Amino acid sequence: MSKAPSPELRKLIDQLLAEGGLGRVETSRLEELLKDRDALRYYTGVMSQEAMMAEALDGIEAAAPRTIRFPLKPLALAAAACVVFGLGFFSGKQRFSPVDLKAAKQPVVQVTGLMGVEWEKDAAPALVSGAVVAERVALRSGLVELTYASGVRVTLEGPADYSVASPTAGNLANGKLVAYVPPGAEGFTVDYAKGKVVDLGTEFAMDVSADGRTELGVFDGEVELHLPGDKPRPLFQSQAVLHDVNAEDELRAIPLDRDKFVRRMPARDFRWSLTSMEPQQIEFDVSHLIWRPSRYRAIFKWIEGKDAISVSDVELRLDGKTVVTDRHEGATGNLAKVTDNIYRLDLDPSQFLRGRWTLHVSVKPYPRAAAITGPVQSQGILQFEEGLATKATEKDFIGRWGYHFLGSRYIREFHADGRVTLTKDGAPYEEAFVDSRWSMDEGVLKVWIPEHNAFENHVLRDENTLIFTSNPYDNAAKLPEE
Amino acid sequence: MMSRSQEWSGDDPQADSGFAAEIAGLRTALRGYVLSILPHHAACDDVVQEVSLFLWERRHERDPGTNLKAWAFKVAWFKAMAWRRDRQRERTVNFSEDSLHEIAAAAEALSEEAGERLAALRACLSKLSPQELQLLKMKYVDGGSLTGRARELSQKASRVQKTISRLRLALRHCIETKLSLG
Repeated sequence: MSKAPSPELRKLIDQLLAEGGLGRVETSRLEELLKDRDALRYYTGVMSQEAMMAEALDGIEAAAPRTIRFPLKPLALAAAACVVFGLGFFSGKQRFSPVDLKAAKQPVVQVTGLMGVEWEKDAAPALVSGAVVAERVALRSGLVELTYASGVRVTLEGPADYSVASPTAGNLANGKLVAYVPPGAEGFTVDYAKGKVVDLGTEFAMDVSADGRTELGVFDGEVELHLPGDKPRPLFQSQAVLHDVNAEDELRAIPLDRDKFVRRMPARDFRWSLTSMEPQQIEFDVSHLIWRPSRYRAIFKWIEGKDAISVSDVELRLDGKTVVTDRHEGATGNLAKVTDNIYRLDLDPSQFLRGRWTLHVSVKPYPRAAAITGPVQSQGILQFEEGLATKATEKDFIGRWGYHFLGSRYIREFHADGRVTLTKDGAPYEEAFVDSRWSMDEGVLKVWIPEHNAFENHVLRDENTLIFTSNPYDNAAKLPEE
Repeated sequence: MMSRSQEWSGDDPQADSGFAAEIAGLRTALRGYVLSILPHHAACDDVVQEVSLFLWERRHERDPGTNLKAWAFKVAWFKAMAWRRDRQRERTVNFSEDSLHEIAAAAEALSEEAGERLAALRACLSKLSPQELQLLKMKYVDGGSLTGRARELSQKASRVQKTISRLRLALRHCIETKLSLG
């Protein structure tokens, strides 16, 4: 018996036998692998097996009646007659469950992510005051993530003009789109001026240019391209076509350009770690977070490790050239060590271009107390924020904020009288914030903690998101009043 | 096929039906061989059909001393190469001719055990669950697009593909085990 096939060989043969077949590169790779005797024997074995499947299956009866093990499609949300955009400012943590019965009360499409968006004049959904009715999102720049009730996730990159046509369809007038269609939501359709793309359970990308050319690519799974007067054309994983009604060949196969599309809303946090006493430079690629001139903020948070770090010379560079800087020295570590760990990087319109934006930072371990010994080892995150609510007032902070840490659910409440209270997994956490008082300082909420002889600082990303700038906690979400 | 043969005088119906049975007996081995060098189910079906027809039409030219199987494989090789040439422009797998000679030799050697392999595969299939058998029948017997089937099952096409892949490997393992024990 020959040895087990390599995963690569197996995958290539599977792909060869799937409906899409192999591309040129994969074919030559398979050809190369087949020079090995065992691989060749495996290949011919599989082929002979494939070839006799129909014959072998003939006469073998499945005893049981047709049973289908797969999940039922989620119920159609017929009740939602109009398309409603919910309030937009959700962090990436938002989960949308298509089988949750509560989903019936959800709008058909929600804005689940926004980044650096400049809306077209007539097309800004009124996102600031709760649910509003809208059918179209048109943006000049930035990223918008829409989530359909079926779980379909559409990520648009501006300039783009997209309309929601039904709970299972949309229309892309122009711009770049990536659609992720989860199991159960197959059949999701995106129309464009010259054709229609029907998804069969997959992730695909489209780029509709103003000049009428449309690029369609499949990251995963399969889609069907429907053109007027033509039979549906299936398109498979890693394939791409250019549809140009003005060209001699209206439809051409092109390589899939994976780098061209933003498939997910980018994360705002970047991990850093420090393992040496030597000062060092750290670089973070923030290109996906800079879409327009704005007030950007870099917040250094320590998460774990015995060393605090000292931060300075923060530079924002475009294609390697320094554009704005904040050189002040700050520190991050456990609560008592955190000082001035927010860096201001304001980009004005004359300084802004789309390009490769990087953040460069000088870091070194904070001078050690005598009790700390052993190798340097600390890690944390850089949170890169845009347009923090620097004008936040007391009123914006007062209320309940929920977050998770190490598996427990915490709720902090900032009371109007200056007290702070905490619950952990639903029970009051009396030991915390004894005699603490909070106050406001230029949009930052500072909590004095006598026990630690230190302040905790909090800022707001927006009215629903609180950032712990001096604690190793994830952002907190505003909770409704009880 | 039959209507054509009836036009010819001097046919020996008994000899003909014997020859037809011989060709039919080769089909399993032939399919495995052709699919190895032309890894595309529809193309394989076409070529095997063409080979059968070719052999049938030339049944009177057959030298009783020649090995029918060797002859059939030779014809299949040329038919497959012709198919490949004609469809060069379409997106099909395109091994070099050198590689194809290697593959063909290996496939021909393997075809010696076609009968045992078929029996082993049958035994292995009988152990699968009804759902798995149903899926395999959809793919290999009913034909058509697996994607369409996936839609019927409210299942993601890539997941169906994964299941097929898993079953393919399991069956392959089962066959090899049976052959090595047998």
